[in-house]
Amino acid sequence: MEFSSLHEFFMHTKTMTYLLMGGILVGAVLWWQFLMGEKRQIENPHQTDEENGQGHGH
Amino acid sequence: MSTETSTDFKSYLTPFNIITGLIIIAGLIVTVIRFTGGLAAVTNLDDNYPWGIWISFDLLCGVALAAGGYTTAAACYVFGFKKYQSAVRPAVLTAFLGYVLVVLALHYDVGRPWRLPYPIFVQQGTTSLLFEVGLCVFLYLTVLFLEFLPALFEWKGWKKLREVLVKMTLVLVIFGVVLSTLHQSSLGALYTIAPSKLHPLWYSAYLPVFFFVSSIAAGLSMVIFEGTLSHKYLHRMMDSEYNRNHNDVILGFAKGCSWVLFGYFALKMIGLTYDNNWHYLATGFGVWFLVELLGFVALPAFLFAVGARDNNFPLIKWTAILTVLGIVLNRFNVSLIAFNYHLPSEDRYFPHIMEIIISVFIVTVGIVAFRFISTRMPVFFEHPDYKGQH
Repeated sequence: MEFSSLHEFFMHTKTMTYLLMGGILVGAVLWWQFLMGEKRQIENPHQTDEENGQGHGH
Repeated sequence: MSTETSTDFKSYLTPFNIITGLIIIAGLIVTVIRFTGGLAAVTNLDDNYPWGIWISFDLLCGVALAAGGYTTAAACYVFGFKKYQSAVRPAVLTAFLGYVLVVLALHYDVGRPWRLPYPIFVQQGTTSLLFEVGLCVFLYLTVLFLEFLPALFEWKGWKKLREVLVKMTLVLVIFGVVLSTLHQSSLGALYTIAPSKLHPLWYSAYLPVFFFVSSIAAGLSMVIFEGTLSHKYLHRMMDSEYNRNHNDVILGFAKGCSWVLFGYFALKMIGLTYDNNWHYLATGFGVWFLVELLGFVALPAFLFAVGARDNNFPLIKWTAILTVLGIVLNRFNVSLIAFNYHLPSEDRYFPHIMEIIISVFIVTVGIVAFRFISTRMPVFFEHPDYKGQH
């Protein structure tokens, strides 16, 4: 890609950086989920253990 | 009588003692040559390379790898992860010795070492980044010394002095974290004054941020690495409290390190994109940059995550070594390999054998000092008089 001015260069790289930062934000959430292991079901206090899916020795 | 003496003497002839003894003798000989013959007698430094491996390895890597002190202390006292308490003293001792050795190495590297206190006490060059580096090293070394002193006082039985320092712990930790933030980043900032000398793939306005963030990963990995070595060779000095928390420390630090390395990788990509340096990736230096970024940043981030998920301790320990090597590689790339990249190969710097001997000598002195202190003072165990008082 050709740039004829420093302004053009900065506009191009800034746009690319913003796109990348958006991707990183999504990636960070996915990485966190991968790092912390399997997703555990949130318990509902109004349900029994079995209804919460914890009645089988969890 | 003579039989007893010869048995005592033989008991000192362990492989560790023989190897360290030989290294220390060689180091002392080169020290004499350095301080009688000057820098030219023992180094390959010249006008293109006024800083060699004594700066790249002993100072830049030494400071980064000593970051375990502030990361562990911050995790325990600032963020409240009390389960890492047992790892604080070994980490602070490693950091303290690391900084002492950095200052020792500086005495070899600067032309007139007796002038080292001048920037602090005589004439402050407040507009210089090196002044900030010097001031932070001076202050942080003092803080680390004060942080470690309670162990010395417990060993000596000086209870009142210990109490005074223990009350100051939180203030010292906060001061230490602030100073580390400042000077880890200022080491990176030193290289922002050489945009024409440093290869564009490593040069960035974000160099201070890169140095600071990577130092956190270096510190966390060093705690895992040092803990593993200590477990193998100093196991007899550890109490049940240390052993009980050891696995928690490794798992927690592996997760933390994976997260930090992910952030570091993301920052490096932002730096690459902001300077629009993608086209350099197709060159020789580009391949080398990718080796560093993928092999020593992205790969350990992934391996730490897998190790922490699966409770795979051997994988975590090997990954810690990979991360430490990656930080060393990064500091060498910034300060030597990608520095003066435009020079013809015959003008490039390669360290003199005596420079390497001094670097190995300094690391060996650190290992011997660590072993000496940790086998005497309460580093891996709680002193019986102060159980549960931390």
